[in-house]
Amino acid sequence: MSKPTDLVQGTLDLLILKTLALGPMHGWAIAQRIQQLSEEVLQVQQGSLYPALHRLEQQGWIRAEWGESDNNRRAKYYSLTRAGHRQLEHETDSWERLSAAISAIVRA
Amino acid sequence: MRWLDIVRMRLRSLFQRDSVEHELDEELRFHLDLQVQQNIAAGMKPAEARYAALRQFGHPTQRQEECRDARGTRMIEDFFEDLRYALRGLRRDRFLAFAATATLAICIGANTTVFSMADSILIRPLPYPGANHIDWISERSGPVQEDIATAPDYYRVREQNHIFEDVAAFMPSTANRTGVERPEQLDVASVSASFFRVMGTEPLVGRYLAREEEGTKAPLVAVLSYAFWRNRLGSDPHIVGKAIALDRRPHIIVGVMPQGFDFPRGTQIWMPLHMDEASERPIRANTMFRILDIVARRRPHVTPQQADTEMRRLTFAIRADYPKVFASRGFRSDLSIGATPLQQHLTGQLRPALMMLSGAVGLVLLIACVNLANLLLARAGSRQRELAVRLALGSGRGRVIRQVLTESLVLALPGGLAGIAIAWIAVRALNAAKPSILVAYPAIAMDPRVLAFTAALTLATAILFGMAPALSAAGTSIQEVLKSAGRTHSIGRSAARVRKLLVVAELGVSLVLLIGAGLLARSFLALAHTETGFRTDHLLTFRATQVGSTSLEGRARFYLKLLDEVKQIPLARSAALLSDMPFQDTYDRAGRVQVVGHEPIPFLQRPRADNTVVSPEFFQTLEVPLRSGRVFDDRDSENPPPWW
Repeated sequence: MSKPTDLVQGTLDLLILKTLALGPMHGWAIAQRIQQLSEEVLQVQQGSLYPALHRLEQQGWIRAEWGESDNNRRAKYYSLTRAGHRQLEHETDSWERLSAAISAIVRA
Repeated sequence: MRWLDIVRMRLRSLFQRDSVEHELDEELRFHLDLQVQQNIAAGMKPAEARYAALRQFGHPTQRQEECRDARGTRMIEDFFEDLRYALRGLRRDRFLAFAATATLAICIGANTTVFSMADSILIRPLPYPGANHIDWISERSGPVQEDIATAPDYYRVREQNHIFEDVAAFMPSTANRTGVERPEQLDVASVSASFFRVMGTEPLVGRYLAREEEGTKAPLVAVLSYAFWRNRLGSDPHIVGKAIALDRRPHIIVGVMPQGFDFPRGTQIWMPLHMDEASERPIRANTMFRILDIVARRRPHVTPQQADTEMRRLTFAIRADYPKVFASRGFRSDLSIGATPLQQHLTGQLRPALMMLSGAVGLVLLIACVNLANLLLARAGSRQRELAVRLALGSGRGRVIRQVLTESLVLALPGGLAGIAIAWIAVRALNAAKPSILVAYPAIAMDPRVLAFTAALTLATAILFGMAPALSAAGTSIQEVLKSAGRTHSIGRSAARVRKLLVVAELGVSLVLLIGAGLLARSFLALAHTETGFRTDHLLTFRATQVGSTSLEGRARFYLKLLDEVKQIPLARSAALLSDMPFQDTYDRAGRVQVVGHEPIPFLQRPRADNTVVSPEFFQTLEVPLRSGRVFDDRDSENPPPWW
């Protein structure tokens, strides 16, 4: 088996937004979730998740709240805002266009 | 509300920095702990589990930095950090802070003062609607721009209605307000009916002159200035229709102009100009022209240059209409009518002086900048170690430049503030003292534009004198400086070269300034020592105009009686009558001279001599020394000498 693929530049935002569309969760859970759903193909370099989360929060697409985690510790939970939902649709669209175009070229 | 969220977040990162930082710490720690637990659950030993978690996560400090960058307020945070640092540094170096503040306060104060003068006098538009469309029309000839106009000019220019919407003639003069307990002399202007339309200003109360209220049959009406109406007539709201006696003739008040309408400057009352077109329009060989002032309002699409060109063309047309008269009176061939924007005409004399002054204070500020740059460079020498360490620890060179520039901004800011205070005091003093050169201009004001200028100037100053130290800091060679650790070392060779260049530049600029100032001082001394030809101390002057009697004898009697009464005043040693004050412009009284027995010269080519009519006591009163012969006395007044 080959090495896990590095994330395509700029797709981390899309993955985070998509993951958060399932419901509020904290950073560690997001990293786990991305890894599981991609069947271990995508390996998020865990540290780089946080600058991305903070940037998305600064742009008003996700909102952060402190809450209790399963093991009774204070954890920062992120959730999608209304603007975030719109952004997710937008990014999904452009991702589908991009990947369709690339597969068309690759298969030709 | 997405943007509200964003603003709230930015504010929080700026003003609740501690808790934001604390949360960041906690968030990352939470993640690492969970990862360690998961690793242990997968069968690793605790130490190994922690190490693996860290490897999966990446360098935590670096991640923290990236999170801080994501906040989007990094520049501002850095700025405040630099600010704190700079303030701490300056507290250690009080001499530098004091020198910089004092130097800049004086220089920026001077620049702000001069700029507020230039702003109030040259830049701010005249307070009349559409003032940039008002032109001053006058004749010019020869090297001396005489700047007068005549009645024939007025009638001809008035016909140029493809260039001008309206053309107005006016004559400033004085009138005596009579029929009151204390008669007084008023500054009045006789104006053509179009005058107020040209100036574009509506009256505050009543109306201004109607179209038919000019010419020989114009009724005796008057328009008052706001100041006169308020101060002398108690702002009487029912003033329109009442009469005011001017030179013993009742004038019906028809209107009051609004506050701020002050043209020609100082006018208290405007009244109709009595002119006779039939007799004053033609140019004849042997009549005198009436001398007056002309203003005109350009049509919207006409530029000042076009108007000026058209006026020159008009001159040729007039000349072609009267070829014989022009030849026999000997008009100069370069005589021409011209149009100048009114503001330029009003500020013409002061413009070069203000430009020179601006240049001079600008140079002084430049010298101050060079000085401060030198001081900072000397200080940078002792700080090279610190900068090298910062660079070695990963600080970007751009970041170091920003830090040094922040320091110079901190140095410049108090100077700029103190400069504004100094300028404020200077402007108040100038307005209070009103030096004679500024009398004809509006009061100097410090408006938002001046403050913006000062702010920009302070910023530019900071960048200018901070540039040299900043660049030398960015050029610091880490290795060299750190290798010389422990030794005291001199500053780098390049910085030394910069300092030498700065000193040379400073010497050059100072020399220019010194030479300029020296020349000015010499001119001033020469002017101050000019022989006036009479003693100016203990001399009082006042104006009086006689009204009523128009016969020569009646007027002579009035003035002689007045002179006698002044002589009776116990404190007066002597008194004299004269038609004009010394050094006063007597252009319209200047006479052309033809020496008897010489070949006759065309009128306008005869040499001109200013003349002043005086009473015999003139020479004694002004202590004019007599070189030879005698001064005239009562014998001379009755019959002219036989050769006349």
